[in-house]
Amino acid sequence: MSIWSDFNPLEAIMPNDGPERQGLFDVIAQRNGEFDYYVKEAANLLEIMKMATPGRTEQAERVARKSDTILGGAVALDLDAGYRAYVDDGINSLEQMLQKAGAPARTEQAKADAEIVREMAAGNSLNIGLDVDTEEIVAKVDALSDAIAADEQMTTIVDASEVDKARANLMTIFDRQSGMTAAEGEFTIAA
Amino acid sequence: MSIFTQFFKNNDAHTRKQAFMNELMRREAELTRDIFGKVPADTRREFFCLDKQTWIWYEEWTDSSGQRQQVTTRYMLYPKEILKSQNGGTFQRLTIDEAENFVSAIRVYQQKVKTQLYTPKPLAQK
Repeated sequence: MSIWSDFNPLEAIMPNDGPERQGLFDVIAQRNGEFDYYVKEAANLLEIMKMATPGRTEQAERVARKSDTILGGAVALDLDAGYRAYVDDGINSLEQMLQKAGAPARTEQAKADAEIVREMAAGNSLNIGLDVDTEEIVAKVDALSDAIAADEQMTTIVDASEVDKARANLMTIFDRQSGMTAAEGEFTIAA
Repeated sequence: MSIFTQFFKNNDAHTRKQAFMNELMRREAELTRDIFGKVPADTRREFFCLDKQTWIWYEEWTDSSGQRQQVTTRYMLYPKEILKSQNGGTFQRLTIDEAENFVSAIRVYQQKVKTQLYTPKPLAQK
């Protein structure tokens, strides 16, 4: 027998009238409305977990070793574990650094941004357990940080076109990540 | 103690509103107890959403030696994965198959409570 009779069963636990009744209406509406978010969130997590399957580890490592940019390393790490949020942070930091090049007053902020990128690379490596060239990535960030400290020399270390290319690679890989093979990954980075 | 109330502290902060929320959870679980299949006669099964991060699956049954057994599985939605803990043990990451089943289950749960508990016959505005 259905729990439904000729009236809403929740009536049995609702006060007849007054402000408490309205308050409980709000509780019901909130509870009911939250499920859309819960299901969407769980489905998103499932997709992230699928991206982190062990089969992608070797692919990520190979792409990382081909990479010669900080962003490329982050892309490779992302392939393995779906750490897109970290990568997005890295992109934003680098873009901000480029925008700040030639603006000496912002040197300290730029150095702080570089530190974020360094933590991102090291943190991702620890989480994933990959044998990626973390030292190389950190060394590049150190060089970047030194260049930023000198401000006017920054563009000799970080070429804007290189970052643009890395960013384009990143977007390509995000778009194709579900079906990309290791060979395609190498091609994308090398292109 | 009820499976629905043991997750909340029973103190002054345990308001009428929280008691009402517990009652909603109980009714949701009653409505959705069969989404993992038919429940055997001597088995008690409750699956419900505790909060935005936590789902609970409680199962109680009699084993072959006549002893009552119970397992509480807590599913936790973390920023990059779904974890589970049984009877307060360490959290483990769900396998992909488990995660797919979990997502399917909460989709059915969502559909059932939306169509059979909260919307079919609107409460009267008084």
